[in-house]
Amino acid sequence: MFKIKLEQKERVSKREELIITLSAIGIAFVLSGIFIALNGVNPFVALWKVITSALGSPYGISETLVKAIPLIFTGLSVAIALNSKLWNIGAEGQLFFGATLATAFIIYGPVLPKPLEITVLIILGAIGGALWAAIPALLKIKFKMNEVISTLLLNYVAINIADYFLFGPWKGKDNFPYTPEFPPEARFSRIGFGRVHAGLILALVLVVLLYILIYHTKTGYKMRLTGSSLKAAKYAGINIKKTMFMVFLMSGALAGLAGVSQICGIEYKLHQHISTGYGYTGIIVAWLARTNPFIIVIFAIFLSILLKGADSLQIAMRLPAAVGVVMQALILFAILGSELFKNYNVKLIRGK
Amino acid sequence: MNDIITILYAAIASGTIILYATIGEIITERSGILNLGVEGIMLMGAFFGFYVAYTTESLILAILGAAVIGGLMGLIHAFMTITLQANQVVSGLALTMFGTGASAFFGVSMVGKTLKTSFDVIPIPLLSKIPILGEVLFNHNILVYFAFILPVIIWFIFNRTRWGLALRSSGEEPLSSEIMGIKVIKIRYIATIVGGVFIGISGAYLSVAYSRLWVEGMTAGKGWITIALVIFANWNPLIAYGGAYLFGGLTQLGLNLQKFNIPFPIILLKSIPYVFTLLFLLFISIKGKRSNLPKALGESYFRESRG
Repeated sequence: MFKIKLEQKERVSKREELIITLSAIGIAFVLSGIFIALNGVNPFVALWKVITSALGSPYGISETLVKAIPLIFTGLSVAIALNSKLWNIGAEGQLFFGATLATAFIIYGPVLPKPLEITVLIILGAIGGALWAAIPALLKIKFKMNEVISTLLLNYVAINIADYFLFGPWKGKDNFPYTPEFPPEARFSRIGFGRVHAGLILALVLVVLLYILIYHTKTGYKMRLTGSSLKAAKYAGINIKKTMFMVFLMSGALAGLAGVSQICGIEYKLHQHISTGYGYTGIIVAWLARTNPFIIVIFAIFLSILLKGADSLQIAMRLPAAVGVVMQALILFAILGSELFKNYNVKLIRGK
Repeated sequence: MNDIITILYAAIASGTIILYATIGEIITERSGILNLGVEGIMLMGAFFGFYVAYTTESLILAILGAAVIGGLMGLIHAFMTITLQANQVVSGLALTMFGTGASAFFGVSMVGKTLKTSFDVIPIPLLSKIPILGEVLFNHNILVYFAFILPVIIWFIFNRTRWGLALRSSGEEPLSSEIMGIKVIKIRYIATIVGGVFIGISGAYLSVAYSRLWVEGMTAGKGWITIALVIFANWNPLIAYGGAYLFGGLTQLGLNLQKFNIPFPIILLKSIPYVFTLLFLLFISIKGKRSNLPKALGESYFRESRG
C-alpha cells in the first residue's frame, strides 16, 4: 500500500503555480475527452472544434465574449462574497429576480428616453438581485442559517417566480412563456463587434471599481478582514454583521446586473433560458480567480470559450448539451485537486 | 377523509426519497466530512438505476447499480477532500455539477422510456388491514419498508457499536481519535462512500420506484433539501424519520391546496418544498439546538499536523 507524504513548501514561484494550474486544466481536458469518446466522438476532433468555434473566427470570438459578459458579473458577485468568506451560491436566482424586476418596469412602466430607461433598468436589476440576496443575508445574520443552503434553495424559488409571470400575466401572444420583445429604448447598444453589447463596458467598469473598493478603501479593508479572520475583524472594531449584510447586497446586485445584461443586451425579452447556469459557472470563475476582479475577467473568458465550444459540440457533433456542464465540473475538480501540489511537495512512499 | 389518506400515503412514499439520502448524508457528516454533492449523487443514482432497470429488467441490479455509482461518487469526494485536502464546500459543489451534467449527458437515451418492471406494492398481512394507519403505512413497496428500519439500524450502529463510536469521534476530535488508535482517514473514506451508497439508492428509488421515469434534473433540489434536513434532524437518524416524512407530508399538503379550495397560483406550488425547507431551518435556528453538530465538520484533517 502506498502512502502520501506531504512536505510544506517554503515558497511557491509564480511559474510553478502556473504550470500546476495548466497541468490541472490539461488533466480536465483529458477526462472530458474520455466522456466525449464514450459518446462515440473523437475527442481530439471535439477539442479542435471547441477551440476553432470559440476563437477561430471574428464571429466565434464575438459570441464567446457575449457569454463572458454575464460570467464577469456573476464571477464578481460570487467573488465579492467569497472575499468575506461568504458563499453566494444564489447568483442564478438573483440573476433571475433582477431580470424579473427590470422586466416588470418595461411591461408596466412608461417608455423613457433611452439613456434614462437603461439607467432605470440597470438600477432595478441591481435592486432586484440585492433584494433576493437580502433574504439569505438576514437569515444568516439574524438566525445563523448556513448561506450555502439558503442561497441555493432560493434559486429555485426565484426561477419559479419568473415562471409564474412568464406562464401567467406576461405570457407572449402565441401562448409561449416569453414576454413581448422589449422596445428599442430598453436595449443596450452594441459596440460594433457582433452581438457584443454595452453590458461588457458596464462589467469592465465594475471590475475596476470593485478592485479599487476591495484593495484601496477602508470598506474593502473591512470586507477582507471579515473574510480572513472574524476575530481580528471584531478586535479591529468592525461591525461584522453590517459588513456581511452589505457584502451580500453588493453580491446580489452584481448578479442582478447579469440578469439585466442578458435581457437588455442579448435576448430583448424575458424567458426561461436567459441564463444557462451563469450563476453556477460564476462560482467556478470566482474560485479560480481567487477574488481578484481583473483575474475574474480572464477566467470568465476562459469559461466562456468552453461554453461556446460546448454549444458547437452540441450542434455540430450532436453531443448532449450537458457536455459543457461536465467539462466545467471536471475543470473545477482538477484545479481544486491541484491546490495541494501548490502548497506541498507530495511524495508517494511505500507504507504499511 | 380519502383525500387525507391519499396525502398521508404520498407523504410516506415521497418522504422515503429524502429519508435514504438524509441517512446517507448523516453517516458522512458524522465522520466530519460535509458532502454538498448530494444533488449530483442522487441524479447519478436516479439515472443509472433507471438505466440498469431498463436494460436488464432487474430491479435488484438497478438498486445495486445505483448503490455502486453512489459509492463511486462518494469516493470521488473522499479522495478530493481527504487525500487531496480540497475545500469540502467546493468539492461538493463540483460533485453536484458533475452529477447533474453526467446524468444528463448519459441520460439522453433514457428520456421518455418506460420501465417494464416495477416495485410491487406488498401489503403487509394483518397490519395493512388496520383502518387508515394500515393504508398509509403498510401498503408500500419493499424499498419503503426498508426505509422504515434503516434509521434504526444506523442509530444502533452509531450508538451501540465500536464502529459508531469511531465514526463519531472522527467527526468530533480527529486528532485525539488518531492518538487513541482510530484510523480517521479510513473511517472518513468509508463514511463518505457508504453515505454515497444510500444517496445513490435514494436516486434510484426516485426514478425506478417512485416516478418510474428518467427526467433530466429530476431531483429538482431534493439533494439540497436533504442537506437542510440533516441539520433539522440534529444528525440523529431517528429524528430523520420525522424530518423526511413531515417534510413529505407538508409538501404533499401544499401540492394539494386546490383540493381544499384554497386559491393559490398552481405554478407557484413548485416553490413550496424550498420555502418549507427554509422554514424548517429557521425553526431549528430559533430553537437553537444543534447539539450533535460534528465539531470537525467541514475541516480538512492533516495527519501531518501531528508533527
